[in-house]
Amino acid sequence: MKRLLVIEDGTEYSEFARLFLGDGFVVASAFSAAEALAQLAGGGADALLIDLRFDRAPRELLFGDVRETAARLFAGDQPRALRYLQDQQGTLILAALRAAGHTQPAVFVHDFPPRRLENLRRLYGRVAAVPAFDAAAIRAAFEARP
Amino acid sequence: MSKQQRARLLHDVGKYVARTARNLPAGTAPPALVAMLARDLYALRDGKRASVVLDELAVGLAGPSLERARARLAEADALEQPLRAGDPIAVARGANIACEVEALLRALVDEAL
Repeated sequence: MKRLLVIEDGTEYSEFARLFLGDGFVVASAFSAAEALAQLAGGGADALLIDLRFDRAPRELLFGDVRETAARLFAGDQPRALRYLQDQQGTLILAALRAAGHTQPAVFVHDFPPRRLENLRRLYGRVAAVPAFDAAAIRAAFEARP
Repeated sequence: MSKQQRARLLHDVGKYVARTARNLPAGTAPPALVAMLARDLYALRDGKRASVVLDELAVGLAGPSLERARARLAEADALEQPLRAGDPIAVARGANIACEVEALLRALVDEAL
């Protein structure tokens, strides 16, 4: 059985994965970049299913520094920087995982515009996105050849 | 309402309300899937019904797709008791409604383009 690591700020993805992808994957969960890195260093995974928005995660669990992001991207506007970190957390976590050498295929359940998805692939390799919680489409995305 | 707000409605309501409904197997749904469908419809976010989350996020917005989504979720709310009890007709109708609401909220995003 393949191992799927679900990274999200709630339980909706992992519940979905256990019920609808459980015939092909053993599902593990992580709720932050740090947890995901620890799990991948420990037991590894064959594939990643990643939530994009982490608006329920406590600020201290978000990957990325609010002040630094505010200074770098938003002229010091910290509330805007926090929203950015929440809204893009899934891709920021993926960047951290790739930087640590984890190259597993990653799937987002999100309707990315084509150019954005292209850019994610250019930066992070095997990345796919499906617009809805469609188990067959997610399974196909994991199996697709790079 | 901005395109971004419409996208949020699609994400926070449309995507999650259809999470189970899109994947229900043919025939009678097992209790675990009925319970999950009930959570999608009646405890979508912070324990709030999908209809309530929709109303909260749609403040200031009007339009035919939104009104139809509201009407469908009101219908789903009325089905709660038989759906939770696993009545096959209520489960099938609830699942159809969930998928229809997702499609309507996707249309709402497209209307803004």
